[in-house]
Parts: sequence; C-alpha cells; structure tokens
Amino acid sequence: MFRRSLVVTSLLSLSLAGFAFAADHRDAPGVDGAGEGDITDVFAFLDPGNAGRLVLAMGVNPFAIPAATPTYRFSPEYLYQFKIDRSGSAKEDFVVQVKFENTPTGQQAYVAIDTPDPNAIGAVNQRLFHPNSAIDGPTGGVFGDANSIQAFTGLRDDPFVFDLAQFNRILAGTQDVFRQIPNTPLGTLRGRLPRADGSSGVDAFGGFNASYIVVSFPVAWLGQAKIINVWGTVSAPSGEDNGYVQFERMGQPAFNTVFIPKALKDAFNQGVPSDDMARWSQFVPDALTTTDNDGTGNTISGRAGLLTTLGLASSGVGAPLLLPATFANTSKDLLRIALLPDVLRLDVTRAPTDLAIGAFGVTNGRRPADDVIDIELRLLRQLADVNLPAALKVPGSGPARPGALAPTDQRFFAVLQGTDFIRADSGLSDVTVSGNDQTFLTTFPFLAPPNPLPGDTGTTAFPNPTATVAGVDTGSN
Amino acid sequence: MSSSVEWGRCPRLPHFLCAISIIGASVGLGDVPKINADYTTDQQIKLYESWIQKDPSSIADKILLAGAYIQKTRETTDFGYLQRASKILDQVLAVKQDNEALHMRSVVELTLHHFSKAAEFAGAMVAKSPGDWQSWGTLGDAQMEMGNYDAGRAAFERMLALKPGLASYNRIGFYHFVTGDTEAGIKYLRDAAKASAQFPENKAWCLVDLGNMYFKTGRMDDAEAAYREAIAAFPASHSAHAALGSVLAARGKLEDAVTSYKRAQSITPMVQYAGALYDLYTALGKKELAKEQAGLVDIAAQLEEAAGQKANRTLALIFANQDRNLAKSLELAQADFEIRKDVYTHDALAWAFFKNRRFEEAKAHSEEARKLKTPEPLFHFHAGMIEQAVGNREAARAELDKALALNSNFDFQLAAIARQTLQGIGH
Repeated sequence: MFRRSLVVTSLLSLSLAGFAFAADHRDAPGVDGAGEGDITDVFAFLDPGNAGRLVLAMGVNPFAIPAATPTYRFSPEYLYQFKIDRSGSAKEDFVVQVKFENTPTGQQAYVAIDTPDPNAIGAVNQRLFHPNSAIDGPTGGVFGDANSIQAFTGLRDDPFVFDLAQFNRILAGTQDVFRQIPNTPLGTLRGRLPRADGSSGVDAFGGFNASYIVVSFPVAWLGQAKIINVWGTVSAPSGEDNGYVQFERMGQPAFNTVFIPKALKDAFNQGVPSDDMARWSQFVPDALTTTDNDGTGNTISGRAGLLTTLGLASSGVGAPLLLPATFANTSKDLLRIALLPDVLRLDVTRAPTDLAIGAFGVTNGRRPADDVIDIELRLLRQLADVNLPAALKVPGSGPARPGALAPTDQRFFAVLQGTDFIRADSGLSDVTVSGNDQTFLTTFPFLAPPNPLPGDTGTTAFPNPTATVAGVDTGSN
Repeated sequence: MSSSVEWGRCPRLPHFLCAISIIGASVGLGDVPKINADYTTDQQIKLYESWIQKDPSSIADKILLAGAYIQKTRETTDFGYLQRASKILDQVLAVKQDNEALHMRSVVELTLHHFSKAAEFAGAMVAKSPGDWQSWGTLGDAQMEMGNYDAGRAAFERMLALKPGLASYNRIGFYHFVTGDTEAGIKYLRDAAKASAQFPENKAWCLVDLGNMYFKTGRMDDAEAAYREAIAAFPASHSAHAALGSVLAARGKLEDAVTSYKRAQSITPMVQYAGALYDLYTALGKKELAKEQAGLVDIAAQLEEAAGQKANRTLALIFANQDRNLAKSLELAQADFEIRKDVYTHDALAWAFFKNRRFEEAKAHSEEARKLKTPEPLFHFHAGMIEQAVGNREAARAELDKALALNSNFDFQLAAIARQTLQGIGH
C-alpha cells in the first residue's frame, strides 16, 4: 500500500546530514530549505573612503546561479537584522532591520535603524516602532543618502573564497590536505597538484552570486563605542503581532561550519551570542601555550618548529606562519575567547584597512577582500591543541588531553598547510587579498556586481570551457 | 594595511570576554567533538535538557528538545518520545502561541494520526502566516488523510507555489497518483527525487515512492531501478530494501526477496515487513520461519494494544491476508476509519469486512476506495473478490482484470489468486 506521502518530510529535514559548507552557506538543515534565510557571510567595516561611515553587509541565497537570476529574492516574511552590541554584553543595543515587500516589478526594501526595545532583544524581536532613521527603495540598486543611511539590496557576486570541495574531501577522508605533500612521516598526503601559475585550489564560490543587503550609516550614530560587536540574524514571524523569532545567525566566518556538530547547527543558529561561551565553548579545542602540556614539547614554539620542519611554513606545500614561534599566549582558552561569542568585533577608531589580527578577536571586523580562510587556517594550525599519534614522537604526541582535537580529527589536516592555495604561492603572505573571482568596488556597495549570465560576453561556452563567448549580446544586463 | 599579529596582548581583550572565558572554563570541557562525529539524538536531548534546567523559561530550548524527541521517535518508532514532545509543546503553547511550536504541534498530531487536530493547528498557522509553506504541507497531508482531497490539493498547490521543491513535489505527486493521474504523479516524484539529490535519506524516500508508482502500474524494470538507486543513495533505507523485496517476489525470486525484506527488517522492524516475510516463508515451505514472523506481527499488535492504539489499517490488512485474527482485523480497520476516511482506509476496511464475510459492507467501502480511480491493483483485486462473493461475476471479472492489467504480478500471491478466480469465473 502506498504510504502516506511524506508526512515526515519536515521531520526528515531535522535529521538531514549535509556536508559542511562554508563560510556559512547552507550551514544547517533548518536553513537548507530556505535559501532566503540562509546567511552566507556577514561583513562589518569602515568605509575606506570615509572612515566616519560604518558599512554592514549580509548575504543570503547561497550558490545563486547566474542563469536563474530572476528567481532569487528576499523573503517578504522574514526580518533581516544586523545587531550591534556597543557595551560588550554580547546583547544588541543598536539594530538595523530590513524587511521586503513584493512589488509588481520586483521587491521594495525597508531599512530601519534604532535602538531596540530592551524587552525585545535576543532571539525574539519586534519590528522597530517609529525608528529613528528609515529609508526604503527598490532591490537591485543603491538608495538613500550618502551622508545618512545608504543601502543596497540585490544580487552580487558571492565574495567568499574557499576551496570547499577539497575541504569536504578532507573532512570525508578521501583526500588529506589541500595540496599534495609527498614523503611525509605519514606517507604521501593526498591533495590537489600545483598549477603552472603557482596556485592549486579551486574557489567553489567562483561564478556564483548571493543576495546581499548592504547598509552604511555614520559611525557617530553609535555614540561613544570604540569596539562594537556585530552579527547578522534572520527571523521568521513568531505568531505574535509584529513579533519575530530568529532561526539563523552569523558572526565570524565559518564558526558554525567548522566547530558545531551538524546535529546542533540549527540550535546554534537559534541561539544568542550572550549564551555562546557557556553553550558552545566545549566544541572549541584548547589553545597551545608557552607551557608544555604533554611532556613532548607541545607548546606554541614546538608546533611552529614542527610545521617548519615539515616544510609547511614555506611556499610549495604550505604558507608562512602567522604567529611568531615566541608567541606568548598563556591561556588554553585563547581560541574560545577569540571565537566566542560568535560576533565580528570592530574597533571603529582604527583605520578601515587595519585587520588587527589577534588584537581583540580574530580580526578587526571583516572586509570583503579579507582572506579570512587563510587567516583562520593559519591561526588554528599554530594554536589548536591536537592529540597527535604517539608513534609520531613529535610535540603533541603525548598522553591524551581532553580539550585537544582527536588524532583522527580531519580538521587538523584541513588547517595543516595554512591555506587552501586559491592564490599563487607568491602572494600567500598577504592575507588582505582573498583571490575573489570578481573585482570588488572601491565605493558603496563595495561588493562586486553579479556574475554575468551564461553566454554573455566574457563567459565560457559550456561544455567547452576553453571557448570564450565573445560579442553575444543577450540583453540580459 | 596591517596584518600584524597582536594576540600576544591578550589582556587587552574586552572585559566581558575575560569574564565569559571563566564561565566557559567552569562548564567542564570534555573531549572536543569531531566535526564529522554524530552528535546523537540522545546527546542532543541531554544537552537541551541541561539548558532548560538552567533556564526553564526558554521557549526556544523547549522547542529544540521537542524536536529532538520527535527525531528520536523516527529513529526508534517508540511513540513514547512523541508523547514527551507533545507534553513539552503543550507547556510552550500554554505560555505563548509560538509559530514553531504550533507547526511542530501540527506535525506531532499528524504523526499521532490526530488528523483533525493537525488540520486545525496547520489551518491556524496558515491563517496567520499565509507564506508558511510547511504548514500548507501539513494541512494538505491531514486533509488527504481525512479524505478531503479537494482541500488537500488546494493546500498542496499553495505549498508548491510558495516553495517548489522536494516536499511540495512529493506531495502534489502523491495527490495526482491517488486521483488517478499516474503520469503527473510520476513526473512530480521524478522532480522530487532530483530536488533531493543532496540529501541521501530524502532522495531514497522519494525514489521509493516513485518506484511504488512504477510498480503499481506494471513498470517493473523502472520500479526495480528506482529501488536500487534508492539503496545506492541511502543504504539504510529500510523502505527501499522492502520495496526491492516486493519486486523480487513479484519476479518469482522468493529467496532474494527474503534477503531484501530481512535487510529492511534489520534496519527497522516494521510490522509490514514481518507480514511480507510470513508470506514469503510460507510460500517457500519454511513453516517455522513463517511462524516466527507471525509471532512478530502478534507482538506488534500486543504492543499497539498496550499503548492504547486501537487503529491500524496496516495490521488489519496483514491479519486479513493471513486469514487469522479476523475479528481483530476488522476492529483495527474500523477504528482507523473513525479517524481517517481516505481511499486507503476504505480499502482496508472493505478487505476486513470481506474476510469477516460481511460482503455488502465490504462492497460499499470498496466502491468508495475506487471512487478516485487510484491506480492501485490491490483496490481492484479486493473489489473483484468482493464482487465475486456477492455473485456479481461480470463486475468481479472486470475488477480482477483491472488489477492484473495494472500489474500482472502486483503481488506474488494475490496475483495468482486473481488469475485462479478469473479462471473459476470463466474468463
């Protein structure tokens, strides 16, 4: 007898085992079916042309295909928010809310900025009532005032750069590292082979778009705050008048992807930064310190020596060390402190281009071009404690330590080289350039225009990738 | 541009971070879970319970816990977990009419076969949020179960318009199949299978449903290919192994069919797999093994009874097919009919009445089962046997012909009975 049709589809979705995606693209079962609410990345930076303006950007609709451009929209049901904490409490005290309405020709975006009702912060929110500042405009272009609120909503080239396919292969154990390393004490570590141009990675996000909300406003509106915490959220109607409940969030790139077990990703997305340390620190490994914790010389210096000895700190099979071997950390909680709560930390008094790696978090805010993947890989390979196999007789191969990554944890192999080799080896020391496939704009909205439709000038002619289509005017622009 | 490293100056971290790091240290860090490690449902339950213990007022955490209990129900088929989820949702909804809780509530009610309640909750959800495609799906499911097919179709079409994808394609495909449009049903199920390509379990589920449509309409090779593709996609798909068993049995490969059903049973001991294995072992002359499977069916029936579950059309059909516990078979089918009046329940009730020699009631329900022209060989087989019992030889012949025309081997035993009966009637 034909069973009842997928009564349990929604239940099934609770248990779907998706591959890990980064930065936050399709990061959890709960958002896989709702691309309009699936945050890809969040950015927070000062306008490089005017350090008096804060720029916030949040993408949804991961892996948007250029050929299907008209099908990507924002959800008129959802409330998109940038949340800002100015006090260091990890609770928002300043918000940018964005809502959309469908129109006969597209969508209209409504942007509102104000301090939220203190009774409506956290995961359950209300729309701002008579916001201090508000503008609206159609999707697909810039609207507002360059001296007040300015906004853009619509498709952009996905600015994230990562060899996701190889990363997933490493996690699955079918490959070992991003670039092949012959003749290691573990044998040949499988990976991609270098190309003539000195790169070997493949940017899985190249050629794809994402739907972006970009908002800019004067930093002065934030008051006296120096370091602000920023994160993005997406919420659905809660059932109460004007009420919304959060189902997706993101702060730092790839935190949920890398550290949260797949079964808990939705729970993480529904949570709030102020709970992060208590709830999620158990999923972040101990950091190495200046003190040997297993009798094998397992210190920051020992790890740096190991990476150097294996050639992983040099171009060819690795990237330069980001931290000096003498790095003076004494807290095994350093990674937890840097990564949690999951927010972008931005010092609004620093220069817009100042990454300030490690000054008060992983980086100072996040700019579209930052090579966040290489930064995180390099920090983790130098700092994450790993129970390496005893047979290796290297720093870290001592007795088991509960806060360390397991020896079979593939994440260690993923970070080992400190880069995914998207860029040529010669440029790996510069982490301010990610190697994105499109050129970023130097002015608002900063993100690159969406990728052209297949067949437009400059695209490749599938199935012959070597043939470039020239002079085909499809009128798609 | 600066990319200098300043982590050595840790004391400059904002004050709250230092405070929180102390909190983090105090929670007692265990082994760091691996990214690919399964964080089991039991572990999730334990984690969410610990959160609720710290903050009993957290609605979000209670909803997470209810979701974990629902997942545990899927994994164990122990409805006790569903009752726990239900209790938590009651607590949440007593405080707040939270949409997620209402949605989960409707799914729980649907799973508990409380169809009118499920429709009530889902209806309230879509009234408040017309863009809630999941609730349109739940509403449609409930309406279909209650036999309200027009309402079911309307809900599924709204869902499809809002969210074309795996869940909506599968549902609208099922609607088309049930209402007699096999080709549309197959087309949508193919779309569903494509849409679920990234999710092995869902893909397998859709392929099994697609294979079932092929099987029921006689496209045996396509059915077998779909089932095998489902197994390749998700080897733990018990329904795919069982479905493959049904094709193999129909092809006369009874030993291979046993292997497939045993595999399905080892993954999830569904009562229908025990019923099928009973039939197969009986046909193979393996009486002791058949008896074991009958015993499993009986245990399932006892557990259902102990749990207060009176309605079960699947069990009713198994008992009726095995010509035993016929009074119980009718009781189970009648109880199911109290809560849902779709064509499948009409058919099960018709067959139970037939086996209890209440032919006129059987005939009435069989006619209801066939009113949508659903291409179900069993509906026509049951109808043919009932018509024959009441002396309508022409109608009996016509129905048995229809069953065999849809699939000449729709069931390795029943198809043979259909042919014998036709011979007796004088084909």
